[in-house]
Amino acid sequence: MPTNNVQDFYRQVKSNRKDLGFTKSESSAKKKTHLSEKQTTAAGAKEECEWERLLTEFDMDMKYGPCSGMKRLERWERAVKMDLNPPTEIGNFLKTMKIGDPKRNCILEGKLF
Amino acid sequence: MDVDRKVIQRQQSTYRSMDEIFEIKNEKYRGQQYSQIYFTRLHHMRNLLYSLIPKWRPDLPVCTVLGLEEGKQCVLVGTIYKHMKLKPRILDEYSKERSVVPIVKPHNFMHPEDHLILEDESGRVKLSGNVLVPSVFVTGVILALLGKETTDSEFLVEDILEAGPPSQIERPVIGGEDKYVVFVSGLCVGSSTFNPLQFQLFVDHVTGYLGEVKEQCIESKIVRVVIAGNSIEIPKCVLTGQTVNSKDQSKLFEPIKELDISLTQLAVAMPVDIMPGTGDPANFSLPQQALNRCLFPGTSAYNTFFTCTNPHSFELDGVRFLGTSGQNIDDLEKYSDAKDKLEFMERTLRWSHLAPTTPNTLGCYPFTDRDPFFIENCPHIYFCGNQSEYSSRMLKGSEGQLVRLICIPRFCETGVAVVVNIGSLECHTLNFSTNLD
Repeated sequence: MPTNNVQDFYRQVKSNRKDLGFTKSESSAKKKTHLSEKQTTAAGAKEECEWERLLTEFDMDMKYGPCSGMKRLERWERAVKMDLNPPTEIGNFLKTMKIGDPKRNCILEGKLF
Repeated sequence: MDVDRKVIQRQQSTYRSMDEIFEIKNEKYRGQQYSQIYFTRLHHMRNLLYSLIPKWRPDLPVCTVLGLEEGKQCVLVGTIYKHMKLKPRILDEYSKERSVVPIVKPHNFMHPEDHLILEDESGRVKLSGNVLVPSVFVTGVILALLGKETTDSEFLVEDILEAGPPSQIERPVIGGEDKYVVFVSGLCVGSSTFNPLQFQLFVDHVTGYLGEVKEQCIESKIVRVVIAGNSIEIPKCVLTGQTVNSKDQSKLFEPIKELDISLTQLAVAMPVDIMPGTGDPANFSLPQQALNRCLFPGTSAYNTFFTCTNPHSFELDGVRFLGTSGQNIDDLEKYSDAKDKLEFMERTLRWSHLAPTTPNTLGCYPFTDRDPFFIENCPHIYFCGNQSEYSSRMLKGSEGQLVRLICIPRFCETGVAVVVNIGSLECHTLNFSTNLD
């Protein structure tokens, strides 16, 4: 059934770029050190949110091809095979994910048909 | 009785199957869409074209559709989409305005108003100009186009660069005796046009049971038989979707059984490749997977019997073969125009793509990581089965590639098998007739 509301389709996420204090273009090394400083649960939730945003961004990037019907990691690996240089931190994050984690699927999973 | 006791040995050749790229194996359908194929096709072929552009037009900038500027000459690379007025569309059934467009020729959907559109990830642009003829091209072809944007936002094409023919591996020099490969297609065992005697003549001839020592010497040089699709025709009356009652069940397997008996005689004598075609009990969409060996209980006992995919690619003594059971060429005939079937085949080589109309008008498995129909290496022998008549010619590429193009006729209608000399690439037919007039 088609959804009438865009917000139903894309989960609303508040921009928290400033809170975490880094932008996408910064190196992953810096990200890691920064994230390890904050071990509180609040930071954990924020981190989760931030990853969600990055992964959605990756899904929506047409440079790496359409995302429907593929696992995120498959799409990332295809992009590597095609020499498209997808962000390494996304690949590393996806590789550490547990089997059955809903974040392994792309954002459109289950929403197209 | 004076019998020549000298035993004639059959020639042998080394065989290497290259069907791996056409095998679907463990892939599962997980809801992937056809956009993935177009993406991978555009990616790989654009990389190829980008490497050719500096040699073709070194002075011109390469643009994307979104980056076009009016009046500025540039090179565009993208996928062709052919807008066709007469092409049947599934949505027409639901259309409220019932404007019935008469189809003049039911086997061809071309119309003078057809036009081409070029697409890439950034957008699409309508193509104009006399250089690019819509009747030649079909949806799914990747081209590099030279031209400029006109005032009415069309792209005026001035020159075209095609991706192929791809480079060819060097053809080995085959010394010693000649070696032949026999192609046959459209046996249609079980159909009303199938003539058992005619096929038996073929089997006996190829295996060396017919003729004198002189003929047998020639027959012994046949190293392989390739059956290019449509070997079986199951009567339409049993394919109704209903449960087949026990009385009719024999109609289903009788043709396969009959084919198995003939194939056994062939496989005893020499290696046999069998490819699936439209009428065979294989999957519908391309690449068609190899027929199950269980269908041929007699023949599958021999290790000279190979069930192959369609398209089929292999090497014999270093000579590369590539071919299909004809679906790709038949589909091009519906959506484009050429003077003969060989010209369609030639075009697929020039586009470096075996079946550009997949997945648009020809069924195809939704691959996500590759496009198996992209021709990376030019074959030496390129064949196409199930055509109405035999035709063949040599194609010479710009880099000196030499390709033998062959249209294999339907055996049940013509009684013609095609013989190719793998050393010289020369080609001739074998005609079998049971007509005594």
